[in-house]
Amino acid sequence: MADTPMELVQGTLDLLVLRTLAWGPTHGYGVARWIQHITGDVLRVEEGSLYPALHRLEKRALVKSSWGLSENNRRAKYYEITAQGRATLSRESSTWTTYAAAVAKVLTSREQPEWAK
Amino acid sequence: MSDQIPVWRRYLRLVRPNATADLDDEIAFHISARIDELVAGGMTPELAEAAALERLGDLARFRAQTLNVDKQREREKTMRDRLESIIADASFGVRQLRRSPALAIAAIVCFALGIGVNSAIFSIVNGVLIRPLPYRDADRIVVINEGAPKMGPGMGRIAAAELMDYRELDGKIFQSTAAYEPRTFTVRSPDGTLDRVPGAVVTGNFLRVLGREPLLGRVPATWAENIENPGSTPGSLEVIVSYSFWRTRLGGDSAIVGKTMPFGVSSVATVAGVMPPSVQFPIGGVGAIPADIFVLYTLSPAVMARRGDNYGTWAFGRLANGVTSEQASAAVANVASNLPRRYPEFYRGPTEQMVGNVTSFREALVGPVRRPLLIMLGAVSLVLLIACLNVSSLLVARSVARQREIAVRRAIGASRSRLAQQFLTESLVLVGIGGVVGLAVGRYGATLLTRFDPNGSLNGYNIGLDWRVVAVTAAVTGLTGMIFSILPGIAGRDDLQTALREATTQGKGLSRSGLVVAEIAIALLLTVGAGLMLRSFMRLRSVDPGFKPDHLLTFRVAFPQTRYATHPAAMTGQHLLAQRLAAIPGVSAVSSATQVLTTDPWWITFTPDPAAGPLPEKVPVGSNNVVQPGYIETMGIAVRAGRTFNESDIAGREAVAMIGETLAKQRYGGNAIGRRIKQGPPDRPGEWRTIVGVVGDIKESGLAGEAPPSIYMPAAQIDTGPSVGIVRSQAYVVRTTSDPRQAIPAVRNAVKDFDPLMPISELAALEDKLSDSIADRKFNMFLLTVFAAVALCLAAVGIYGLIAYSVAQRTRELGIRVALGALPGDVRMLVVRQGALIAITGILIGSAGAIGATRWMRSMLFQVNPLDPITFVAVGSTLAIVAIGASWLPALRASRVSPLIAMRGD
Repeated sequence: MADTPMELVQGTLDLLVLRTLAWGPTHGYGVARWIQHITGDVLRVEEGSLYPALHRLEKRALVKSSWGLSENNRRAKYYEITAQGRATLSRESSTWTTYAAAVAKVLTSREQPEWAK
Repeated sequence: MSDQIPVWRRYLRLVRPNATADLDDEIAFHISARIDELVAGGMTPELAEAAALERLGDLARFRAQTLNVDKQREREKTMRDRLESIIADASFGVRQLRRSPALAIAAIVCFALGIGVNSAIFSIVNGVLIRPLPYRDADRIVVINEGAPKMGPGMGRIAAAELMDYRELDGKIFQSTAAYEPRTFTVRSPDGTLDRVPGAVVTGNFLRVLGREPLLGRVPATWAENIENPGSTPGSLEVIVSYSFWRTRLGGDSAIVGKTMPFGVSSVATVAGVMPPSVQFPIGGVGAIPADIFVLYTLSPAVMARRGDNYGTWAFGRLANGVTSEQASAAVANVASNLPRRYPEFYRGPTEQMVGNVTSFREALVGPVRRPLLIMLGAVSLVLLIACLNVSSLLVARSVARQREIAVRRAIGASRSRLAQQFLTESLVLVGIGGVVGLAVGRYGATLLTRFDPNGSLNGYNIGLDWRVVAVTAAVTGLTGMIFSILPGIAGRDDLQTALREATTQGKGLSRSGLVVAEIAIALLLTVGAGLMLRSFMRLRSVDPGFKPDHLLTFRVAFPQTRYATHPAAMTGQHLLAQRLAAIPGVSAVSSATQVLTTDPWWITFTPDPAAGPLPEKVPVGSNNVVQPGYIETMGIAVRAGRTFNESDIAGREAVAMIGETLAKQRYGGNAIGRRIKQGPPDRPGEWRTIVGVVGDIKESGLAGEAPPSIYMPAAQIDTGPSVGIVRSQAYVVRTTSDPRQAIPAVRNAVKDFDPLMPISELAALEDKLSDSIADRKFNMFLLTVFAAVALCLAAVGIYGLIAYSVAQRTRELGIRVALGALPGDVRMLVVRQGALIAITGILIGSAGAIGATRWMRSMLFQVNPLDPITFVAVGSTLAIVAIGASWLPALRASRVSPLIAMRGD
């Protein structure tokens, strides 16, 4: 599983980034590391794709950015979720989980249709 | 990666944000953080770098995507900023306007008037001259004109029989040709009353030439047959009705096709089709009324037998592909000139030679209306110009007052373009409000105008707000906005110091005065035009029509052969009806004739008595009126010599006639009694009549026309020959002792009692008909007067504003003068003199312009010289008085200035 990085649909990536930032402000690298940690490196996102995602989110005013110094005094751009971002996050994650549950139901159902004898 | 960013780029970022460099920094951080982590986990730096880059994925693509997102964001931000600044300017402008409401209202009113009036007139011009006619490819339809050379082919009509000759050009010059004649049909209402409805007889291919299909139903088969065989008479009567007729009288029944409707006095007709709503024929040109019922025109042998002296049919055709109207004109002229050769027995005398041409359809309809309309448009544009000049001068004054504000803003860093944007926005707010109000004024104005329009000559044209009107109004509005928003910008001074000191008004004063002088000149031009029209109209009204139109009622009825089989029966009927009418209380005299006040007199050729002098070279024509005894007296026409007809002038007795005095002078040397006259050319057999009376000439076709040579014959003696049918249609005149209009119901009842199947048409007081004939001039005069009045008001406001402002500027100077001993009267004189000087300059310039311009109005004037000195002097004095009046109030205020306050204030 760790060889080929999974392709994520664009909207899903935005959602993951938002969720990550909901924990607290961080930079792009921090988001990458957190996702890597939580999914046990199963979801090997092409990390470069985080940056278009972050800038898009900023354009939609769901996050805001500021330049700051990292732990080892390097210049880094920090992103922070906004109130509108939180609202969007809760709305879209409930949509996503509903969708995922429905997909899971179809995939794991033991019931057979009539035409499958 | 961060090493690859050149140092100089980094430092640039201190001056202005650089998105690319920032992104590179972001990514650089990410990479070095990852490398540090991997190295801390035991990898070598080179492997770590490779692994880090690999984890990043397709960096170039992501970088490009991100930069794209950033670019879009920048763009949106700039647009938002610009919008915000414009909104800020607009609200600032609105606040400014609210602070000086007088200025705002004055400016908006000026604009609304100018733009509104323009919009109204342009709506009409658009509807009449520009908008396409509701026929397919209407510019390919032409009208065939023909006539005798001395009248020129301006008559526009042919004899119906000649259609067959022109049809020979079908296929080569025309795709097809059709004919049309206006008729009035009788239609029964459900309650039994008979109404006369305007209609037309048309040839079968009429709709095909127009290029339109009926909305409901189709062209009946009998019509189609008629195209091939024009003499064929269809068995049943199938008609096509207009849209408005279908809606009002047939109830908009969607299943009407094939049903019958009451038609004529007692029969029915089958409705074969309904015209589409926008298609009217003819379009209400001068004197034409759109037809409600279309009936087939059968070219029966009787119709074919009349050529050379019966011109009542309109012929029009659709040009064949590739044929120009010049070619068609030449072909038609050819056919026309051959007519006398082909049918020598018909074309004699005045019609010995025939000429012909074609004119475009629109020209035929619109020609007479075009010049007045364009003059109106010119006049109204001048009004708009004055309005703009007014507002211009108002705003220039305000800008002078704002010099300080402008200078300060420039000093703290506002760029020229930012200031220009501000002024532009303020002006546009003003102009925008004025324009919207103006558009509304224009819409209602146009509707009002068409309601006032006397001849309904604007009916049938689609006059309303369409995109052209909106576009033109918007363009005019925008142009005005731009023109005078530039002025404050030009007037703005850059020099802060000079501006902060006392604002000098010298330069501005001159340009403002120039504006007001221009206003006055234009107002003078308009007022002169209106004055000329007014005088012209007064002259027209005082024209003596040749009879006494007051206390006269008239109407028309017909005595058809079906109910009055013989000529004596018709005569008896006419007498009996006259007796009944005379029995109505309040009626002092009754008579009848074949025509009363008509624009379409019955022309005949005649031969004067050879004993009175040599026969004229060309056979003369005159207007023939067949009358009952008592006609001359009832009409109040003067009797110059001899006697009028009486009861003994009947069939079998000596044939008599009366002639008009001009005819008597021209052909009989003033001595006509006892001499003879004959209808028709010299060599054609006809009855010689003895002239028993000479009467005054009357203006048959309305006050503005000439009195034609007239011949009267007694109805009782016209019992054979081609005119016998015409005698059956009589126009009655009834003289009453009091207001004739009150007798209308009694007259109607009398006719109904006499013959319930006899429809009445054109029942009206004769005075009203006379004023109808000059009603369109009255309307034009009314319009022009309104414009002139508006222009005068605007000019007065302009002068007032200028003088008031100048007085305010000169407060200190005036205060000093008073302190040095000037009397209030002197101060007043000073101010008024300033106003008078401007006014006189304007009047002189305006008069010069008017002298040049009024010659275009010649066709609209009646017996008034375009350079009429009385009008010029009167208008000039009026304007001078207005100017002095407008300067008076500021002058008064100036003379009351207390010198202390004047010198103290700033």
